[in-house]
Amino acid sequence: MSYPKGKEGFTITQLTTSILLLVLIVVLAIGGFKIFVAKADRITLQHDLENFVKAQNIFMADYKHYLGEAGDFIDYGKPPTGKLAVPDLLFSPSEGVMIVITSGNGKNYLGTPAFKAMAKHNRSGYTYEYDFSTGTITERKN
Amino acid sequence: MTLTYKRKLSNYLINKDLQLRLIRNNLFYLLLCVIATVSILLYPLIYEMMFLPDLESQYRAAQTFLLLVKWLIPAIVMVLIFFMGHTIIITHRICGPLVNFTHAFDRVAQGDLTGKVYIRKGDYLKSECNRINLMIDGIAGIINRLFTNHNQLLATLQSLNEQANDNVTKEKLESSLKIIRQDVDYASDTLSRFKVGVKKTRD
Repeated sequence: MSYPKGKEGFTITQLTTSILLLVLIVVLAIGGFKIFVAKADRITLQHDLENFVKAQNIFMADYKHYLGEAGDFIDYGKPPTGKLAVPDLLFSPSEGVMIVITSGNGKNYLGTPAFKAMAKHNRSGYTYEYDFSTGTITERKN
Repeated sequence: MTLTYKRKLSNYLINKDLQLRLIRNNLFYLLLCVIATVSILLYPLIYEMMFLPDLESQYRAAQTFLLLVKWLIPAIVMVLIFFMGHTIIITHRICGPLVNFTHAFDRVAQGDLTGKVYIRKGDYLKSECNRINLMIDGIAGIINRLFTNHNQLLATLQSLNEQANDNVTKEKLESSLKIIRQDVDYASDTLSRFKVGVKKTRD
């Protein structure tokens, strides 16, 4: 017995349509996911940078200077480097976040170059930088 | 009837057309369900991340969101893979017997009533398989009785033919005709069980 011609198997149109529809749904879902993941990462960065600044301010109240100099960093899950490796700095970053001192020196925070710290995430295209001399946060898109 | 049969991996898509159709449709609906569930699950967190005024609350929502996403994606991928495998196995256990049924129907259509339908251990449609075997047995029994009638008719006609050559008496002739009548009645009775549609002719 044979099937009528055209009734057996998928037609190219059916197959292409269903694959395109599936791909479209998956792409839309992943796209939506990525937008919200990126937003969550940015919130995490802002929050961690603010917390780092708060910890530095607490340290400043006790020792009259900030901690760290250009190149020092605190990475999630790793011990702080350079002058940031002090137990009195009560800060640890969230998963995937790294805080780097981008310029200046904590002991001379009013001098030049300005004492700045940057928060970056290994997944995010955004970075946030805090200038200790002006007390402003700048958002940058890489 | 059940056969012990070792399934080969290459045979799992035994009826590609039907199985791929079922897998495609099931995956499509599962994907929609997963997307709807995940959206409903994550909506409160997304709302908090987007619209709450203070950074601390946004941060807590963002961390919960990231944690859920981290574990949800592998879980969804695993569910899709398991579901696809499961669908292949289930459809295989239904399509396997269907392929056997199709072969059996082909044999019956060609007049071969000697074969039986066998299904493998673990296959579905066991009761349907038994009914098809009962049907084949029933038709074979009826055809056997018709064969017996046919043989008896042949023998009686042969004997009648021989008697006609030997100046047979009227009583003997009537007796032989009576036997033939009985055989024809018996065959008619057997055939009356069948209901067949009347084919329309063009003339």
